[in-house]
Amino acid sequence: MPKRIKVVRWSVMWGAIGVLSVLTAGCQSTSCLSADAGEDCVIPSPCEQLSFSCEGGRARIKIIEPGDELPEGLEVLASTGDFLLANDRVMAVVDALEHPHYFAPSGGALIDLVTVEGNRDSLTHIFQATGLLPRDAVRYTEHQFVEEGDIKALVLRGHLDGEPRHRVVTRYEIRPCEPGLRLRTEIYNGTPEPTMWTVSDGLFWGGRSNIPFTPGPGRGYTYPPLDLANVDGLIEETPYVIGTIHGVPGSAYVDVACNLEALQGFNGEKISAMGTPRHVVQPRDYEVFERFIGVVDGASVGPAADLALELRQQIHGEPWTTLSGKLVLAADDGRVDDEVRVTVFVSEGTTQMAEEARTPWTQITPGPDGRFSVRVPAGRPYVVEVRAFGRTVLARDVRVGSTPGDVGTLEVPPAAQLSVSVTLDGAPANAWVFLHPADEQTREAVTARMMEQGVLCAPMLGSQNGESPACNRLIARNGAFLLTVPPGHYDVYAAAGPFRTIAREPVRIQPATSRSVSLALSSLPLRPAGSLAADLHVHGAGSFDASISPSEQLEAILASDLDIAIISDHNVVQDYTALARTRGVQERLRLISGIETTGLILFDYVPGVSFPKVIGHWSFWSLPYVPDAPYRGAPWDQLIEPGTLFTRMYEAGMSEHGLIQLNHPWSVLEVGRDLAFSSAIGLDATRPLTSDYDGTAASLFNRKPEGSRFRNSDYHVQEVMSGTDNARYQAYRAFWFYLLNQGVIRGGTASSDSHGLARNMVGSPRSIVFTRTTVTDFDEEVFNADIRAGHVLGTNGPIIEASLIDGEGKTFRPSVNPFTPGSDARLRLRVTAAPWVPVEEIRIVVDGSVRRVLSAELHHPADPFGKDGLLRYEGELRVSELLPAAGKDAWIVIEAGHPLVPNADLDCNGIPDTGDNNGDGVIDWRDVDRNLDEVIDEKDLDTDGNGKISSADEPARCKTAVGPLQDPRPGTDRNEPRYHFAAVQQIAAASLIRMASGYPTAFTNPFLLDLDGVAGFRGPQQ
Amino acid sequence: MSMARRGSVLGVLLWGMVAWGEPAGADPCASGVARLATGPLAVTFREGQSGVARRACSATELSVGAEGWAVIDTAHLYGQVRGAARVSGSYALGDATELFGSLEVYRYQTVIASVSGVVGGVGHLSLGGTHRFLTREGLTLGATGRLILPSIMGVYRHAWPVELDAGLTAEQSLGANWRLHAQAGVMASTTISEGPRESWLGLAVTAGAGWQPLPWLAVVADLHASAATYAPIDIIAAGLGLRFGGERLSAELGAFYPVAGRRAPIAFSLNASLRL
Repeated sequence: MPKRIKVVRWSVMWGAIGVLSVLTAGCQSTSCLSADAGEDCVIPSPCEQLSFSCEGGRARIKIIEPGDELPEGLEVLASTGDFLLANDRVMAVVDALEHPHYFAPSGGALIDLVTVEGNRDSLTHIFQATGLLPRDAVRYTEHQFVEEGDIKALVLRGHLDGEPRHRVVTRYEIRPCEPGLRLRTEIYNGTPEPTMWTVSDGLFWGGRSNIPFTPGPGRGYTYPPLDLANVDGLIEETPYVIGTIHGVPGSAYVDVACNLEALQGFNGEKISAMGTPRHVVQPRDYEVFERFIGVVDGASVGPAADLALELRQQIHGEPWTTLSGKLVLAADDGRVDDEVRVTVFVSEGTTQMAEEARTPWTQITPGPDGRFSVRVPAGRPYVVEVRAFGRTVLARDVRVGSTPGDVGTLEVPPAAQLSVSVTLDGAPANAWVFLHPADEQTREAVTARMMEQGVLCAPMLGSQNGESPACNRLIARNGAFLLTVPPGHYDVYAAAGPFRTIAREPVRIQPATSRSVSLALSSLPLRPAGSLAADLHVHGAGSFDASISPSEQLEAILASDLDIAIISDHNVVQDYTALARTRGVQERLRLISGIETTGLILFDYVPGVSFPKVIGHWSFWSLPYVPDAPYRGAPWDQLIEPGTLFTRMYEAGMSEHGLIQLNHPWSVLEVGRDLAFSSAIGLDATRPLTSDYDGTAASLFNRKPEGSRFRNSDYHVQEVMSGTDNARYQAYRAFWFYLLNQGVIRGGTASSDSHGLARNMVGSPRSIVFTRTTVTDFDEEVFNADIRAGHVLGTNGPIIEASLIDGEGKTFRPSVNPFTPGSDARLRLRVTAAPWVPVEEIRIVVDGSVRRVLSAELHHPADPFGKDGLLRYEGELRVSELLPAAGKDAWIVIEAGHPLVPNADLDCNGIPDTGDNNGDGVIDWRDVDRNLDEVIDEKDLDTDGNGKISSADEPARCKTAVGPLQDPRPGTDRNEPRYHFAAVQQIAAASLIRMASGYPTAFTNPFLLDLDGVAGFRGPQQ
Repeated sequence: MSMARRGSVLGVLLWGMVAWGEPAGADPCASGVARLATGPLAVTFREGQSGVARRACSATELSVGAEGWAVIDTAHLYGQVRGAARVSGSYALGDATELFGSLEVYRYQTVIASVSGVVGGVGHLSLGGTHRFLTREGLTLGATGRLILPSIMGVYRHAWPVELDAGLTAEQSLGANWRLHAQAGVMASTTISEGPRESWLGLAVTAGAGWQPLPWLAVVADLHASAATYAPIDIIAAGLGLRFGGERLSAELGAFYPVAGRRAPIAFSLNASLRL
């Protein structure tokens, strides 16, 4: 190009820009979102309307170093290198950019927040995002400290994870005297296309932990179920969101917008997102979100709502006033400052209005003197509602003007005192204690939810997520517990694991009375010689979705009569050994530090699937516990395939003799995340497993990721039974059997996956590990080697002792090591169980098919509360009569317990998925609970959503949604053996249509019979 | 080959065609044939008609129309649909000069991502002019410019784009039924914003042909290419349109389909014009 023309062309261009610059002159940029914005660019201070004052306040900001004073509490995540922002009232921790947690692709999220006075962290994680997908989360890449006099700020720069041109700047600011942090987030659309954003705080509560509260008609602690496919329909406006934790010591958190009239977003038990309204953001446009995130002590919403209303008065000029009153207990039957015994909800509206039309503004538990005082918006009518044990006992209308209002004294109906004592072999001992209504009248009178959460309890004695009492049960520490209960007729049960008797005592408790119940348990000779009882999957408050304290979980472990527990918190290592030492049980119990890695950030690794996935949950033990390191010594576990994860674990110090366990291997989605790798990649158990990666999703199972030492399938054991509610046992065993048939030999285990007292109960089910090591002289290497070798019986009650004896007198036991028996081999079986554990059949499974069922031969104890009748079966079976074909390798697994309920494989992948849930005798698409409301009704049948049910709703074969699996139901007859089993293994559930529980089940590991004359075991379908 | 270079090559080819064509008369804008609207299709790719080629021939007319715009990227769970009602007008100052303006009277836009939303409001106002400075043997060549003003309301929240197009536009008559048209020019854009302004420069080339087999019907085929310092707006798109009607009242239905370019939109428009 001639130079002159080139000069002319560029002159035209720059001339044009010049013209535009003149036109737009005076519009000086005040943002730090420019691509070239340097460190000298200071993002404006947020929430300028706010002002707090105090004497001698100060603020500081620093990078955490070893020895620094840090927040304390159940959910503390702070580690060396993180950012500490503190003033005279609060301490906050923002994770270092290289320490990402949970859903965030980088650090820069709020992970800890406490008051200086209370110092009880119960915050899980608050991160920034603009939508629901991983690409919508903010990845911070730079940090900067800003000091402007007394004001200290941490400024973080980055971008949305999926688009570097969507630039983000966030300022965390702390000022003296303020009860929290000010935040400002700016996000710029640097792409040429419009985008859809709601700039939000992702408030990751975790589940079974903090629960959100928002004012709104019919809201408060109530919100519609989170449906990721219909989030648009869930988005609502709210003046503030508050997160509180119940049943354990903690704090309450409040989020109030400064530059918006209201927050917009959705709430869920696990996660809320609150921020700006949904906006289509045009190219080169940007969004700004300013808010104040505060913290107060305690479980009540009240103090946090008081702060929220103060913030809104300063920001928006909304007046508030005070509403106060006093509660008086009618009898000396509990503490008035116990939020379960009595608490107060204040809702805008009148008692004449339907509850769903009222707007809850706050909830408060009175102080020890019964007095309460809360702030509410001025000039409105309110209903003051008093709840006891989760049920409304009185409600009063009150109109509040611009001056403080008082509802006077409110008398709470009387309750009763129940003193429980439990002995084991005549001495006080830890035990589980359950209260169950003994008649329908009592059930109706006492069934309730804690703070309106989904789980029903009868009676509701405490938060289902917290410590004793939790829901309708408790751990009697050293055999004693005093509790306040609603009057009624109850069965009080005590239990202490499968090797002990259970006891039951019916009691009628009158109002304003005290009763004592003594329950005696006895040890039974059931524990197989040379075995240890282990729960290989136990969570505590270190997990984002658990809030049971380590000390309470330890008491539950002791009550469950375990020898070994693997502490497997989500994404973090915890160490309970010091606790065990303090409790003085270090010689009778081994607590091993492990981890359950939990895929949270979706990523594209499954070929042919348009939606990103995670790799499910994996357990690893043992791991070094490093108290000041991120994840307490574990590596970051997101965005990688299992083989790479295994490699990282070993690099992080996992013992070479440690174990990798595939957890709950065939699971449903939770918040759009697969809980299991096998189902995430869509393995088809009707097809042969490919030995190498061939580009298909299923072949990921055996893929060795680049740079990894391991293949994705190089784990050691898998859970075959997981969870006290073992409804998914049929799916897990089908997957295990499929692998055995394919020649993929992995040991099977059973674990509780306990997250607290009220759902999965620690120790049920458990793995009985046949090993030569003992608790007192514990050798973890030997213990792990025996698990790896399949020397494990999985059970929630029945005990199977199985051996194979050949004509030459050789004895073989279940193991992942194949063997060739001599002639005339016999399967010797001995099945025992505590009298309260019904064992109705024994199944001999050969190559995945049930070859023999023993039921008529079984003995049944006469008294479920007695000590006799432990032996249910003893005998021998000829192996040759069990095998399908001579001269072929085969495997045998023994099961005992309740008969399996029929379930079908509606999606044709070889794994049972659906039971006869509508009870019509046929298992088909009509049995699927599509809307997951635990009820099969017409809403589930209208698959095309047109409001009518017709033949068009019937999905094509194998193309249907599936689930749930059906499991045996215990019934309501208080004298049935299954009732007692369910009574001491009950799961708190959303519905009391049935008593949710597990059903008696035990399984052995396989006998691998190498019969084809070729060395080694070949799977029957290999 | 870079998008910019591709555009340049296209432009050279276009001018070659124009030069190669046999002239049908002295001034293609004063042809005696009862003619429909001439020049490139008036289909919008970007904001406020930025980069849309303008005809060389001047006329005084009033138009109303509707336009649509869609990007569907299922692999990335992204989609957007835009629709607008547009009023346009032009005023001929003699044979050689035309002033024109266009306003998106209402714009509706929805973006579908992990959460979805809708926005609506008054859209862009653009004002411009064209002046023909060369007419010879069936070819006419003019300079054209368009200023897109920050008039948009309710759609942008913190930033308002201001854009300027400038270029050369040409039309060539090839016999009674055929016409060629082309435009090559620069685009410049900035924003009025307290945030980053991120100005950019670009080149846009449009070339095409019109065939009028019947006095009331014409078919137009265009090829558009643009490239800019703001790389993602690089696009190559093929367009096809129909013009029908009479000398006073006519209509144009046109559509562009992206041939290359990340998340390039499918765009169409329907305009009815009354020549005054």
